[in-house]
Amino acid sequence: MSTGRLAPLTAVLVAAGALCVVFPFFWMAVTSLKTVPEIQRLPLQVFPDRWSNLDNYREVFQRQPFGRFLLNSALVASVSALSSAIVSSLAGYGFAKFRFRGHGVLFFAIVGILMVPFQSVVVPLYLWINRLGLLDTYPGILAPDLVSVFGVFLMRQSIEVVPTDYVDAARIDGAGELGIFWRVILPAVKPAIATLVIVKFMWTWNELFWPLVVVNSPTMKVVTLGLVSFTNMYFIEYNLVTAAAVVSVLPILAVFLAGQKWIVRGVVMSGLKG
Amino acid sequence: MSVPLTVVAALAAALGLHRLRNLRARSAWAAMYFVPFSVSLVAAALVWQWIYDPVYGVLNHLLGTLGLPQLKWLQSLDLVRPSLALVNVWARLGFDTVIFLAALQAIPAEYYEAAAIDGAGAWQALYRLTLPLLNPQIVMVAILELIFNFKIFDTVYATTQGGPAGASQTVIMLLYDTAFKYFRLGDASVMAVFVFVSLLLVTLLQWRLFRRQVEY
Repeated sequence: MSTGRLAPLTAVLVAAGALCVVFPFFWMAVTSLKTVPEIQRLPLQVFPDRWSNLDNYREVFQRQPFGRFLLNSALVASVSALSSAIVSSLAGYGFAKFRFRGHGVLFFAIVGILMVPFQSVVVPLYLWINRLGLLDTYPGILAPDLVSVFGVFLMRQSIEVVPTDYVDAARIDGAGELGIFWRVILPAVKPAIATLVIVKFMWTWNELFWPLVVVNSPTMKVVTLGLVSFTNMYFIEYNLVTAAAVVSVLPILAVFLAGQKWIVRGVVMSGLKG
Repeated sequence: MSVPLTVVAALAAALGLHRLRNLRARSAWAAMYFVPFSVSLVAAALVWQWIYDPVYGVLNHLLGTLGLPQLKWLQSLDLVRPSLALVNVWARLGFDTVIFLAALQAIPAEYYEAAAIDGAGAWQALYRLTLPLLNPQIVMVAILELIFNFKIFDTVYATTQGGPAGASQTVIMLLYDTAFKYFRLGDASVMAVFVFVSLLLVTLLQWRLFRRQVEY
């Protein structure tokens, strides 16, 4: 390609775009360290007077049980990620390596659920959870997230390419079905499981709609709900909102940076295969 | 409304990133575009609401410094939707960029060499070669964004709650209010069916388009 002359310009444009994308994070971080007079000062002040000013963070944890919110989110996201991984890989194994009656129809039906937007089924789901007496409980918050349809799809695609010869060889050697699953299949699809666990954790952590419907009491709130509760006042204190936002974002950012390779894999796989 | 903007911006970002020769620099910059994807839309919306703040927001400060008129953004009847759309673009840009970048990397370099030998310039290579080859991804990303924007709820709920005066009302926002604020579950279910059927039609359209595009 004859792009030699344009290369520096491209690099500058790419960098400028990236800085624009990252700017809101920077702004969130500096605002969370400012006092109210500082954020209202004219002309605009970019950096806080005192970098070690953590008063906003203290205030966030005092005004709301934010530690509890973090714990709730961590619990819900971890359980849903693990449960999805287990169910999806077992189901994926079944669909990839066994032929049974209704195999195709069943798989089509499960993948078809991907097309149903969650918001369409939220009313019946709410009534059902209500009847089970699970409103405002951990099982109630978790229920729709215990299984991941995307996960079943992802795991089937991954397990399908594991050579069936390995499975047969293990069976001849006298391994049981669970032994085969545990010793042959799982080690071969570790990357896909990593992808699924990380992506599902992120999704559940960031979810707002279902927790909003199912949670009532302050102690059962997850972080997204906790964040919203800082805006329900007539006057929004942005130094507190940004501090709360930082607290809610940091854990997921850590997960994201640690698992970025796997997330990109997942996006590309789901993206390119539709 | 934000669909074409997101797709075009993501395409530009991916093309720019793809031009970077240094692989490590490429993935580092790409990571920066991708970071907003990890953040909850609630947090994103709240931070943007602060940036949009009419009196103390950094955006109006910037406009003031440049001598431009300051705007009311989320509190303006005309600007509330574009403003919220921009938050969506910001949040989704990285996801689309990653897909485009992966697709670009899958195009064999020989195609470009052949085009260069045939005397094609950089723009011609882009229009005649890159964009047609990316067509399936462009269609797919556009549809995904359409579905995503149709279902938008978090950003609206966290900031305007559909206001001012219903100017930023969305289907899901209305569904939520009907079902869980006024407890008219029957009405809400009708909306749910409407949402489902609309998205089903979009998905079926996607499948049809795909069958044709895959020929490349």
